[in-house]
Amino acid sequence: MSVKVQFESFDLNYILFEMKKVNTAVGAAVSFVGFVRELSRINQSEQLTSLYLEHYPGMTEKSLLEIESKAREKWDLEDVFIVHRVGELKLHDPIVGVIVLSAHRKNAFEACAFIMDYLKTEAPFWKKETTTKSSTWVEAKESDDHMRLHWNN
Amino acid sequence: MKVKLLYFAKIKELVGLDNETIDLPSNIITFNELKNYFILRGAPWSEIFLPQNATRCALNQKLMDSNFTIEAGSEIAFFPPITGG
Repeated sequence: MSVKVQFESFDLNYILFEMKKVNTAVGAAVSFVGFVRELSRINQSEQLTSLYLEHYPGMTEKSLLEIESKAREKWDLEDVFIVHRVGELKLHDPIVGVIVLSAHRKNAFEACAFIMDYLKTEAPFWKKETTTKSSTWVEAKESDDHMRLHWNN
Repeated sequence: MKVKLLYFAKIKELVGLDNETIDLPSNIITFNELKNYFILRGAPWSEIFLPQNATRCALNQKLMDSNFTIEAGSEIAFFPPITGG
């Protein structure tokens, strides 16, 4: 179990197999990677050149651990790993990675989606897009709130 | 009492500071009172609470959804809705 906030990139597959090596109860692993996309979220016609990620040191790590705890209360999980990058990111760079290990696939699939839906709305990160024309803070999407709220039903 | 204020992302750019420690008048002990104090303090602080900014607040690194009591040494953060992931 660990959460990481870092400037550097990451190799989620390598981490996944290292986590798996030390846990023989694991029968399923689900991982998610979010990448920097080419098109601006704010102005779809503009080409993105870089993405800046700001966070709230201290609160970020706390909230990621809290999200992991919530997932472990809901599902029987063997291990969880969450990594989120901050600072200046380039096109195609990985931004966020989640690994969930469990005995069976259903728990791992559901918990991984749950962690991402909560991370998107509760972990204090902010994106600023730079395109060929301008730099703008990304606005929050209402659909992200709905994705998180559907877990309460 | 003294409190530490933190500003992030768009709110940081709006205020022009990433943090400040202020000595609050003794009659300010709740978040709602702090909000009014900020509005009276004028721009840029009053602009934190413009509806279009949809500013969120955290007390001692915990997201707050309703009014709360402020204690000496509290860390109060203001930031826009979260957009990570």
